[in-house]
Amino acid sequence: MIAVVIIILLAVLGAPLFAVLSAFALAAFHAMQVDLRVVGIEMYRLAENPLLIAIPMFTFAGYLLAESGAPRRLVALSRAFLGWLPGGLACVALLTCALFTAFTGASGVTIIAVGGLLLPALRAEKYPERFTYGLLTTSGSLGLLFAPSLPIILYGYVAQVSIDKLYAAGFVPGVMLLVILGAYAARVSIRGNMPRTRFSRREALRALRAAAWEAPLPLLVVGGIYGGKVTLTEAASATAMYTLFVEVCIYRDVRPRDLPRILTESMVLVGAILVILAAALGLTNYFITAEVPQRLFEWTQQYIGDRGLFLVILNLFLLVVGCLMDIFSAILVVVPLIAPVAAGYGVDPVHLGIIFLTNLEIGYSTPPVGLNLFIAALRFRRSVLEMTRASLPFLGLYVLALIVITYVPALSLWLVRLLGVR
Amino acid sequence: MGWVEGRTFFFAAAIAVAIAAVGAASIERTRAGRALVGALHAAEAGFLALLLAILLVLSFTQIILRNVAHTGFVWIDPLLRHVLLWIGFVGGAVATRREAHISVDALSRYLPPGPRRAARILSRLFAAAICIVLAYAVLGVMRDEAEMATTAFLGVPVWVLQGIMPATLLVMSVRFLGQAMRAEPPAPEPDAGAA
Repeated sequence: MIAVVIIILLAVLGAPLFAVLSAFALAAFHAMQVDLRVVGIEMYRLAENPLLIAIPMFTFAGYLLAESGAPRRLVALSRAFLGWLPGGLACVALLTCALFTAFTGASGVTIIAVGGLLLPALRAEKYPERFTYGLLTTSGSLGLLFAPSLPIILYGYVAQVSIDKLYAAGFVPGVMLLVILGAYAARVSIRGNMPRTRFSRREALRALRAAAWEAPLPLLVVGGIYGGKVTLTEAASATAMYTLFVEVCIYRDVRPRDLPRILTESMVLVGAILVILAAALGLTNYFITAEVPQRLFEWTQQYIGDRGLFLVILNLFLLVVGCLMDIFSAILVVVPLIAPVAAGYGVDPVHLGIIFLTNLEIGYSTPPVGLNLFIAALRFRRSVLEMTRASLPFLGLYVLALIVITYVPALSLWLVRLLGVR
Repeated sequence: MGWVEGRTFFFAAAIAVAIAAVGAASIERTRAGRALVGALHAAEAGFLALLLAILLVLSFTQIILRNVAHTGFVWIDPLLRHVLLWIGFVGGAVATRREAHISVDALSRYLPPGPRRAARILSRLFAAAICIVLAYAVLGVMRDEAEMATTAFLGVPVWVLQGIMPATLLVMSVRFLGQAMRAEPPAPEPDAGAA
């Protein structure tokens, strides 16, 4: 018990999470008088599952896109097609951020690469300052529910749910989020009597031609994964190689001599995630050995009778988790505990995944540790408090969407059934 | 564990890590030493890049072979899975150097400078110690695998492939200790995509 308190204290003092999780696992097994080798065996399980290979390859593709002119071309393209709508440029921002986050895994790259481009454009069209900051801050994690997002891969791996199913399940809720936020933007635009641009076929064709090599990329990934023709690993490999070819050989945005640097940069984040995963595997083994999830379920059953109430508590709990932890650690630590409990209440594991990820998407923009707030504050040279205040109306809409996603399981599940994804 | 008493190992490893950390810190005070450390860091980063390049090329080759030639090498899949393991741990070592590890630093962000420095020293010392214990746990597993002479692919022994874990864990331990001694985070390196 004392050990647990000390480890938690060290965690909030800033010890790396992989060391914290390992310490829990080592201390627990030591107390059970189990040989510590079990933790080593679990760490080696990183080399067991072919799914994990997709993580570095998608991350590399995302970093490569961020380094290239892809954000600029993507903004131009969606602007040519959506710019005429009321709130058109804000919708452009939403769509671009969502696509970009799906590829870069919400590591803050979206705000840096896309937010910086969109800020001057939005301000030039007279969008209110606070609205603009709120939009760009919260959109840093929008798109988490779309393929090929990294958190979904991790969730599927940890919860042992089909990742293809999760991608199919995330599509409709993800689109719903976009529509809700887009409608809000349109309202702001109409109220502010903001000028609208006219659709120009010439402009659209030009933007389409400029992005001709990149525009098919989402379709390629989405078609490949949702269509079930290729495995996730194959899709990741093909995406990375295609991106590499297009950005280096065709657009020549990325010089070959920059490649070693980009390869390394992208792997620092991956390394940080994988060592936490290695540590979490050891801790999960302890949870299972000590039957912690079962006990947790028995304990919650004394207080929480039905599924409806459980879902309310679950959402509140996950919002707090999202406030305190980043998404990767939250998935690796909380999912092994919560997933069996939720299954006990009859929550569909795929639906649970979407609830979980939507909560954490919100957590990205909540103090005290919301990554979006810090990166936006850094990128736009404003205070974290200002970014937080600007994000509030958007977070309200996210919570609204979360409630719908939680209480309408069909929203998440109908596409899974329709496509017959396994 | 039989072969080396845990306590003996921890003691010896802690001394070795401390010597390495102090040694690295003193070497870095000379210009030649800084150049040497810089070259080692560049080699480490290059190796990480190489691992990812191998992953990309071989996985793509496998797709081509599977879909075009309807064949494939059975050794590629286990090799790729081990490359991932290596990426994780070498990436973890680089992340340690750049202080890019994920932590739940809700509290330390809001501490005044004095206590923040104390928190930094304590948390790094703790991380350095845990890395040594983890290295010990993996070395035990490696010994078992060496005894059973298990191979992963193409006759490569499993214990050799596992060797990256204790190696990088000890490097991480040295780095965490160095950070505890420096007590000030380095200037942030330019982030990818910041263009």
